[in-house]
Amino acid sequence: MPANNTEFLQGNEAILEGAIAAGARFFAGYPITPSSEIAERASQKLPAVGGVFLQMEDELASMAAIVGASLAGLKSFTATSGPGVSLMQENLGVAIMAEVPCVLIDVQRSGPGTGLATKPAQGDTMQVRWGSHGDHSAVVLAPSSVQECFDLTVRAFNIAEKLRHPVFVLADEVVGHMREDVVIPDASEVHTLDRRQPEVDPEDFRPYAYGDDDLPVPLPAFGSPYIYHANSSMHDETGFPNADPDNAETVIRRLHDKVECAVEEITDYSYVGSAEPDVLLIAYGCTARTAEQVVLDYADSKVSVSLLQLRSLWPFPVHIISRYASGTDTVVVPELNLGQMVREVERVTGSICTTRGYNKSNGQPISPDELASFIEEEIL
Amino acid sequence: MTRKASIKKAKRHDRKEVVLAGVGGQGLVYIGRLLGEALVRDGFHAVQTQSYGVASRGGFTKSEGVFSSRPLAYPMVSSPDAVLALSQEAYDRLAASLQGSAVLIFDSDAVTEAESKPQQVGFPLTSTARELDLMGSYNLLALGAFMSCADLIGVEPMLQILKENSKSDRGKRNLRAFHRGLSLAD
Amino acid sequence: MRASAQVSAYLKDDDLPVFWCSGCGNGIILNSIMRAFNAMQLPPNEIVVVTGIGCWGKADDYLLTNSLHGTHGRALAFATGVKAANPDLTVLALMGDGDCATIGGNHFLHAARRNIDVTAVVSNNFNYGMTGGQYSATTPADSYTSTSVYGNPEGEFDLCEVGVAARAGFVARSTVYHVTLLQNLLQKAISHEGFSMLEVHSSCPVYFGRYNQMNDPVQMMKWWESRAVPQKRYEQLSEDERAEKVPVGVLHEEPRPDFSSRYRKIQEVAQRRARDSK
Repeated sequence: MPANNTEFLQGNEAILEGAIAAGARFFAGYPITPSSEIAERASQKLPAVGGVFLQMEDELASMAAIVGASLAGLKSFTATSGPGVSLMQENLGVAIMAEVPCVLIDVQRSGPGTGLATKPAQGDTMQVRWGSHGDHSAVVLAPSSVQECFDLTVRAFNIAEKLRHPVFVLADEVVGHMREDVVIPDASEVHTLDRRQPEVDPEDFRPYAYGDDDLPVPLPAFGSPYIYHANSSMHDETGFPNADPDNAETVIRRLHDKVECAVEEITDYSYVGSAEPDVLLIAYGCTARTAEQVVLDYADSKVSVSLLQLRSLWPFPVHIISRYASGTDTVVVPELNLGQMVREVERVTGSICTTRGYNKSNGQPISPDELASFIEEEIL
Repeated sequence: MTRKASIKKAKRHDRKEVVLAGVGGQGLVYIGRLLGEALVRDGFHAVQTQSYGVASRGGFTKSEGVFSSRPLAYPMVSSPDAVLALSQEAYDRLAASLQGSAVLIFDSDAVTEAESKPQQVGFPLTSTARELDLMGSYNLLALGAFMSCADLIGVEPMLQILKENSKSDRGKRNLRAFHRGLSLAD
Repeated sequence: MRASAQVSAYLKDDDLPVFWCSGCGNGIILNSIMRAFNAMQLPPNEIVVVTGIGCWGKADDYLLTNSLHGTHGRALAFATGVKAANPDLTVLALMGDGDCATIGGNHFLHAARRNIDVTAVVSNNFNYGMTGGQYSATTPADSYTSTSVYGNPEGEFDLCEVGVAARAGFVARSTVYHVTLLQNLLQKAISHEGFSMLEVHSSCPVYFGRYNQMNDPVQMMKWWESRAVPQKRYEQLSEDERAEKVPVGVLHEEPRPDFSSRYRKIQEVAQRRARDSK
C-alpha cells in the first residue's frame, strides 16, 4: 500500500521535484513537447526556493546557460526532447571538456526530424551516448516509473557533482506524461551531494587537477577567492590552453576513465523473475513496464520469463548483463526503436546465449500482448 | 512445441482499467486525474494517461486509468473494465471492442446506441447539466454517474477531495454536479 | 615582458607576446579592458570574462580574471547563465563579428532584449581572421574576402543599429585608433546596469586589409582615423557625407531595469505565495 505522503504526479513533475530536492537552483530551457511541463513547473517552483528559471532563445543557449550558471555556483539543469538534445550537443561537449556538473533531462519522442511530436519513442539511446563529437563518455539514467523519475533525477545531480560531468535522465513520452503514485520524501531524507570547496590555497588551486581518488578536484564558484579559467579548448591542469600531445592524451583519458571506472557505482538495475529463465528480457524506460507485465503474466506458466530492468544505460553495465545472461538461453531486448541497445547487449551476450531484439517504431508503446506473441512465436 | 502448449497467462490480480472518452475540452483529463488522486488516497496504486496533441483541442480524446492494490507493471489500458463515452465517436470506437463483463456508461443526449446491451447504460448528462445550470461542471456530473454505475471503487475519497476543493464557486459547482451524477445512477 | 602597473593585476604576462598577428587590433582592445578594470578597481575574482571562438576568443588566455571559454557564437548565452546565477559578478562577453553578428546573432538580440547585465565587447574586423579571412555579417557589400573573391554579394549589418533595435540599454562604438575613447566607453559600458555593447572597429591587415588594399597596419589605422566622427557631428552630416563615415562614442543610452533586478521581484512574489499557501 502506498505511504501517507504519496502524491499523484506526472513523471515530468516528479523530475522537477527531484531536481529541487537534489538542490538544483537554476533551470534554462526552451519549450518542447513532451518535456514542457518540467519547464512550466520550474518557472513556478524555482523562484520560490530562491532559484532562477530562464526561458532561453533556443536549446544551444539553454545548454550554454546551465554551464555558465553551474560555474557561478548553482546546481543547474535543462529539459528537452530529442530535437533539443541534437541542438545541445556542441555545448554538451563544453560541459564534458570543461568538467562542469549539470543535468540534462531528455523526454524522448518519436523521430527523426519533427517526427511524431507527441508520441513516445526510445530513439535517443545512442544520441545521448555518442551525439557530441570527439571522444567522451556518458552517464545516462533511465526511469520507468514516476517514482524513478524523482529518484533518478536526485541521483543524476549527485553523480554530476561527484564526477564534474553532465548527466542525462533519459525519460520518454509515456513516463514523462503519465501520472502515477509517487512518494516524495521529506527534504531531510533525500541524500544530496553538495559542492565542496577546494582545500588548497587560492594561489595553488588548479581547476583541472585530479585527486588521489582519480576524480577532478572540487569546483569553486566564480566569485570566490579561487580564480580560474573554465576551458572548452584543450587545456592543462591550470585551465589555460595546452596543445602538447602528451597533455591531450592525459586529459582525454581522464575524462573517459572517470566515468568508465565508475561503472559499478553508477550501475542501477532491478531483476524480476526466476534466476535461470527460459527467456530473459532486458529493457529500460517505458518498455521495461511492458516487459515486467509479460513476466507477471507468465508467472503461473511452465515457461519462465524474467526481466533485467536497466535504470542506468551508460556507462554500459557489462558486468550485470553478462552475469544475468549466463543463466538463460535467450535474451530479448524490446525497444521502441529499430534496435539500439540490443547491439550493445549482443556485444556482451553474443558468446553466452542467443540475443534478439523486439522493435517497434510507430509512435505507440509496445503492449504486453505484442511482446508475449513475439516470445511465443519466435523464441519458444 | 510442447512448451507453447503449456503457456497459461496469469490473472492480473485486482488490476482494473478504465477509459474516459469524448471530445477535447470536456474536461476528461481533469476527472481522470481526480480519479487517480482519489484512488491513491484510498491506498491503491494508480496510473493515468491521456491523449496528447491536437486531439485535446477538439476531436476524439481520452483519459485512461489503471489501478490495483499491487504495484502496476504495464501502465496503459489493454482491455477496459469500464468505459465512459461522452460523444458518438467515443462510443463507436470503444463499444464494439468491450469484453466480458466490462461496462459502458454514456451520455444518452450525445450517443445513439448501436445495439442495446445490458452492460451499457445511458444517462441524459447534457440535458441534466443544462437544467441545473451546471454545464461548466458537466465532467463532474459524468464522473459521478460513471463511478456510481461502474462501482469499481468507493466514492468517499473522491467526495473528500471535492469537498476540500469546494471553497471556490467552481469547486462548489463541481461538488454539486458530482452528487447529482451519483444520484442519477442510483 | 613586464606589464605596466595599470594592467599587472589582470594580465598573465608569462604568456606574452600575444599570439595575434602584428598590426592586429585585439591587443589594443585587451589593454583597454584591463585599464578599465584597473580604473574601476574591480577585483579579478569578481570578474568573469566569457569568450567565443576566433582570434578575439583567445583574449582570455592573457587574463588573470575568471574566464569561461566556450563555443563559437554562444558567449552571450554562457554569460547569461553566469550573470543570472550570480548577479554580483561583473560579466563581460568578448566576441568577434563572426561570434556576435553572425553565428550568434540570435543570442545577441535576446541578451539585449532580456536586458541581462552583461557587457558585450565586439571586436569587429569585418571578417573571420582565425579561419583565413572569410566574410561575416559585418563585411561590407562588395568587399573582398577569401570567400568573396569577386566582391561580397551580401549586405552587412550595422551592429550598433541592430543593438538599438534589440533594445540594448547602452550602445557605443570606438575604433582601435581611438584608444582614450575606447577605455572611456568600456568603463561606461561596464558601469551600465543592464545589457551594454561596445563595438570596436579593429584592424586585420593580414586578411581583410590585404584583400581590400590595406595590407599595411598603418593604412588600416588611417582608415579608422578618416572614417570615425563623433555621434553629434555625424548627425549633422548630409546623407552623402555619411556614406564614408562611421559615428563613434555613446550612440544610445536608455536606463531600463535589468533582468536580475526584475527576477529578484519574481522571487519575492513566489516566496510570498509559497508561504501563504502553507
